[in-house]
Amino acid sequence: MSSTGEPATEVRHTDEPPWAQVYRAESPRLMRLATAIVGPADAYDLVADTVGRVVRRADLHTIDDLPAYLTLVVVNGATDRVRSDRRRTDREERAGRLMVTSSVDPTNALDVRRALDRLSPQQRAIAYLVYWEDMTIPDVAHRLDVSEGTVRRQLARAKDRLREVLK
Amino acid sequence: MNDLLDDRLRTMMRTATADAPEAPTVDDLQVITVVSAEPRRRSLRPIAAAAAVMAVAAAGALVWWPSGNGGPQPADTPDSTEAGVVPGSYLDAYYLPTELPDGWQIVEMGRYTNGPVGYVGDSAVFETRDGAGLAALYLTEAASGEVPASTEAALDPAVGSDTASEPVPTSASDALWEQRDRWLTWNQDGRSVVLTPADGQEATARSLAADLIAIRDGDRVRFRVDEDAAWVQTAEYLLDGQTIVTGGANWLQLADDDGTVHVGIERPIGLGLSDAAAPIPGVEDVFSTTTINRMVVRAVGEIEITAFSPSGSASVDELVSLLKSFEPVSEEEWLAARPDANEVVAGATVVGTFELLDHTVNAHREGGISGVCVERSDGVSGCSLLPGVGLDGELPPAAPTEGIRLSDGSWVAVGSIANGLEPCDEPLLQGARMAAVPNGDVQTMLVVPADLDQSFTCPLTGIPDGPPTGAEMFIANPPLADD
Repeated sequence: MSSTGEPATEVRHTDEPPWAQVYRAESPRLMRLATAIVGPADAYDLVADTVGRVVRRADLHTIDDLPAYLTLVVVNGATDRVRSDRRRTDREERAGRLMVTSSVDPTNALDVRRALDRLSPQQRAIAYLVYWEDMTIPDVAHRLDVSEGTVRRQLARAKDRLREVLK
Repeated sequence: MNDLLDDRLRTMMRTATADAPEAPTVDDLQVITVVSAEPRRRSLRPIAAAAAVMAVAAAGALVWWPSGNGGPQPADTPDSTEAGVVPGSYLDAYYLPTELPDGWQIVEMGRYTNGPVGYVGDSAVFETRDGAGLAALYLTEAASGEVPASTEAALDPAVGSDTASEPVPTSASDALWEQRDRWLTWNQDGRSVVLTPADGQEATARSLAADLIAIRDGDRVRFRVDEDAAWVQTAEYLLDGQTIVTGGANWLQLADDDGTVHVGIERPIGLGLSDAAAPIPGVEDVFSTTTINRMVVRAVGEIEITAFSPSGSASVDELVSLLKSFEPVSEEEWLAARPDANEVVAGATVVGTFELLDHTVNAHREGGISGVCVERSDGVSGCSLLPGVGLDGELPPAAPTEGIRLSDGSWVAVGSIANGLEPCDEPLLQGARMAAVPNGDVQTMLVVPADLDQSFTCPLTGIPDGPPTGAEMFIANPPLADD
């Protein structure tokens, strides 16, 4: 950009990709979202993989709402991962451990992780957005590209499933 | 009450996210961008899938080949020795024609990649003779992932438990009742057995368990009941080896106490599939908000469907009606349902349009359905499901692995390839062409003559930091002709 006569500080900024500022602002919440869905061990890989693919798109500048888009790709990426792992985990738990989650302490990380495993990835994402980010149903629907009815239904299911263990 | 629950859920979310790791830095993402060749590597997976199908064919399984009369036509099989040509018939999707019974709602559909694909026969449904009781029995590998060579090994309580926190019973008489999930479970000859009664009652499950007689058949375990037992095994609700050609349900698990069931849907192995396919996300919206009554599934392996029953309790009648809806159909019916999928795509909202090689390509996306419709200037057109179409109409970052049959019989493959790739610079096929548009990844189209009715691979070139020379892109052949 130096050829345009812009100040040196602007030149320094152009060394960075245009998405960097938005990503920096969004990355903490993206990591929390990813952690809520897939757990802390896989959260970094999930965000790196999904966001990494988005930011290399040549038409990135055409995305109107990049924060919302990044939320969606992280949730979709998490869904793929969880789906492929879930049944194996389910089987292993059934056949090997037969663990019973009779009561969950909401301040105990292990308890919480096991309880969240009872939810679908979408339900986890919705629960996170509603109960951590305090988003409204319409906002969640927009973020996840689903209908408001889906959000309400899945949130109700998630609460039903967690109500029993959160006694 | 709800306020208290909401408070606890907020606490729970705080706990769940408290140990969130540091985010990748901008530099990390840029490095990852360079190193990552995921789309290219993924594009090779269909080759493995093709090889798997070929292996099945070689083993003597029934393989169906498209032709005018729809029957097996060995003479139509292309020469497998021809460079780059993979024999086989690869559909653009797996359509399971079905109409869900009233009230049933599918809430999730996922690919069952880690499941025991081809495990038909290790699940069963049992009914009481008076029809009042129903239970599903599902066998899978024990946690060790190995089938012990002997019964003695299976009787070792440590098998299948990496924590040994609670011994796994090894006989039905000692089976553990899981109140949370309302199922009875034990290990039998190295298999994990899960028995779920429709009424959710332990006594019901134990009464069936007492009637079961285990049979070891090679490395498989089956169960039967005596003729005078209170329970009988129903065969018609689940697939057996003879009906798998058109797909259908092959296991059922009544997992929860709220009427939720999990149904395993086996792919139609005799008809061929593309590994590029993936389950349609958000299928609940499709079923709940539209009049679509055809289930459309794209998968290489089994599909697991999670559904809620109308009553919330999964009564015997409801379960039977659900299982019957997944019963296999004839090959003719299966094929006849395929055009409906295209109608689904064409009716979805257009989220992007671009021109390629004199074709207008419309990307559609709505209610969990996404796909592409292609129209030539002379009106010839066609559509195909394509999971992963983006919000702005961008095609998924994968190689164009599937064809779209156009109304004049020719077909095209469209897809998106990561920047910098130059696929098919020397196409193997006369008439195959490609083009790139500057926005986003390289949108690619191959136009293939109508008389070319086979799958093929195409070498990839110009891959910086990519796979070594010799990498290929697999192009699935077009959808089967409807005539």
